[in-house]
Amino acid sequence: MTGEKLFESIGGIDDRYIEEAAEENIEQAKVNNSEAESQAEKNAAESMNAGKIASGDSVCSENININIDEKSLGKADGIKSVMGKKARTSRLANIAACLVCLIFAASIGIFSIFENGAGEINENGYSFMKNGSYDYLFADGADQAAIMFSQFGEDSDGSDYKTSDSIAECPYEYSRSFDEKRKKLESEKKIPILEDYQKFFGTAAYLEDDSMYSVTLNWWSGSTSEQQSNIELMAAYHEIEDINCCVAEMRDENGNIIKPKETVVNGITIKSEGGNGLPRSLSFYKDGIWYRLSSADDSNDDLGKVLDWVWNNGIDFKNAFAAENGDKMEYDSFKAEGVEEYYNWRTVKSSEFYDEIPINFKVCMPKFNELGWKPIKCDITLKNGEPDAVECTYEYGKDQRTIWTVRRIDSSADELEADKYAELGELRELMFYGAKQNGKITSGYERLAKAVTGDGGIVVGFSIGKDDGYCFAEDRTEADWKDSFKSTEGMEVHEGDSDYRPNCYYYVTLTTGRLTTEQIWQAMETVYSNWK
Amino acid sequence: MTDYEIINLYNERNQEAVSATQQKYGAYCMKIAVNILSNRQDSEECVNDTYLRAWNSIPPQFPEILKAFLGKITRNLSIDVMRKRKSRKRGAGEIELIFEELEECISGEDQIENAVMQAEIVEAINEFLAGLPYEQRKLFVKRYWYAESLASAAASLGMSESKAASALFRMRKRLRGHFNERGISI
Repeated sequence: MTGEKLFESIGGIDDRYIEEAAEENIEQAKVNNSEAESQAEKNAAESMNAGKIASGDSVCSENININIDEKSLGKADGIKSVMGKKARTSRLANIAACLVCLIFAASIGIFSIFENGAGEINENGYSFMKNGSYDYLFADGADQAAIMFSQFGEDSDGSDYKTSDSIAECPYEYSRSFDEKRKKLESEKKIPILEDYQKFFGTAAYLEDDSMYSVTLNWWSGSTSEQQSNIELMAAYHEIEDINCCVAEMRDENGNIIKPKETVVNGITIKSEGGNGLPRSLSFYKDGIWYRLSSADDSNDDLGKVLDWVWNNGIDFKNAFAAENGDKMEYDSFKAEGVEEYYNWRTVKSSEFYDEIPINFKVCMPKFNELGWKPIKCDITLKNGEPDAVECTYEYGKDQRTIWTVRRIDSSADELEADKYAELGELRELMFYGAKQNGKITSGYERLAKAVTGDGGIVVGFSIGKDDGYCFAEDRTEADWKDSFKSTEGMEVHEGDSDYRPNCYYYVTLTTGRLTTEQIWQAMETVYSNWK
Repeated sequence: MTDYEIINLYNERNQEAVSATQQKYGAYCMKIAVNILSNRQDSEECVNDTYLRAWNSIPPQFPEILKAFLGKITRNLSIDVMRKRKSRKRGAGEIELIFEELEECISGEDQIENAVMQAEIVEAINEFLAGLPYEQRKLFVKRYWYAESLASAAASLGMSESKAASALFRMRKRLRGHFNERGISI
């Protein structure tokens, strides 16, 4: 069997999985296709005018030559203003001005080679763009470090492609997540601070002897996939080939291969690939560590911030990203009796389904039996052996399912998840609950009471417990609580035993938008009743 | 219009079924075809053929999930068109990548492929998918059923490309192991 045959076989999978992974909304697909069509028409028109089309069948079957117009390199004025700003910032960080100038002189040199013309990337993943008198193709997101160029012709056998070697073996033994270590790493000056990038992902991979294989850091900005851009910094003791796609050779008008540009700064060779508006990267060895900094949509300014930081600080493999500092992520799942899917999962009786959910999470789950919902399955994410997120699927109608996800966010973690969701939509406060045990206020838990809608789902964020069972000052009375929250609409205090893990916040996310708002709130009422 | 209503139109041999299908799922089918073929014209032909196939198969078929039913038709037609092309690599770098990735799930041992074996393979893949957490399964299907680019699949799931690539790598490895456990040599 071949990969192609296996691809064909995968076509026969269960319809539910196909629907599950379908486009978020069909309207968006229409928009994407419409844009793709417009771009394809534009490309075809340009190609026709250039007289370079050999065949009308496909944009990608045309004869194309490639060149970079050297005269278009660098826009001195704009770059100088960036340089001035950077120098000021860097002086504040006690970086030698001359070194800064050298870095950004090099950066200027590096980033200028990216200015070979911007192109639009269509939904097909390919775009056809003219640069001067030369045409080339590039792949959207195909490779963060390279542009795909190719010379096509009727007789082309594809040899213009230099295919990256696919992974034969996993090069590392295990990995650890540093997704929730952003603030700590920033405060310890182990990673740069990128304020405009809301999300951070960090993964470190290790060899069998627990030594470092690589560290990969990603900073994401933008709340929707259309707006998102992503800076990636990879560090390792050796160069790691970008294995995500084919990399074709760049060629000039004579068919000669254009090698990636290299710049030497303080004796260090920096290799740069790609172009402005395209996936691009910088890679270099410094102080015994290989780095690759790459991006498709981010500005040279933002890339420069990371470059500057890496140049002056480097990545602390041994300490900051040691395995014991990361989080070990594992998964556990179970399904309800009678559910035929999920063949090899452990099965629990429907009557015991709710109890199987880890205690601090089930109080955030709707009481499906009161709602008449049928439990289907539950996925548990374990972080360092402890439940960190629980995702339960319920069936509430014919072929209608809803998924409720409860995530645990440590109070010591970077930021409350609700803040991240604030950008999604309107915040609306719900209510506040307090807890009493044996007649005494033993814990206060403020329900952040923020409900937002976005991306087809709804998020309700609330916290459970703070420290040692006390949310407020010890001399706080119930009356004090009520008074302090009197001004908040809908505020009320409920009494109940507190048996929840302190220092944790739990957030409920609905990952499906099929439930009506009324159904959602009805389900939330059963959650609130858990607190009584 | 609900799927149920559209299917009823097919059953009644009402040609509005096709326009209703086009309106509701045209973009969806187009997306599948474009991901595989990277060519608008060929993709349009596949989508049009999808409507014809649906018309010819409903009834007697009564798809439980119309979207998946149509998607499968489009996908299969797109694969056929792709094979008929002279050179697969022309403008189809992404799909070539996907095939290469899936090669990792294959042991390379020769075995006669027939309908029975094919059914076993699909059943094994379904079992494998059933055992995956929700997000991972979505990622796998987006990449290897919908043939989405890594960037697109990762972005839609709110993860970085590197994270998605690592997750996919591990899933391919597990799938290969799953085939071995099932005694399926491919």
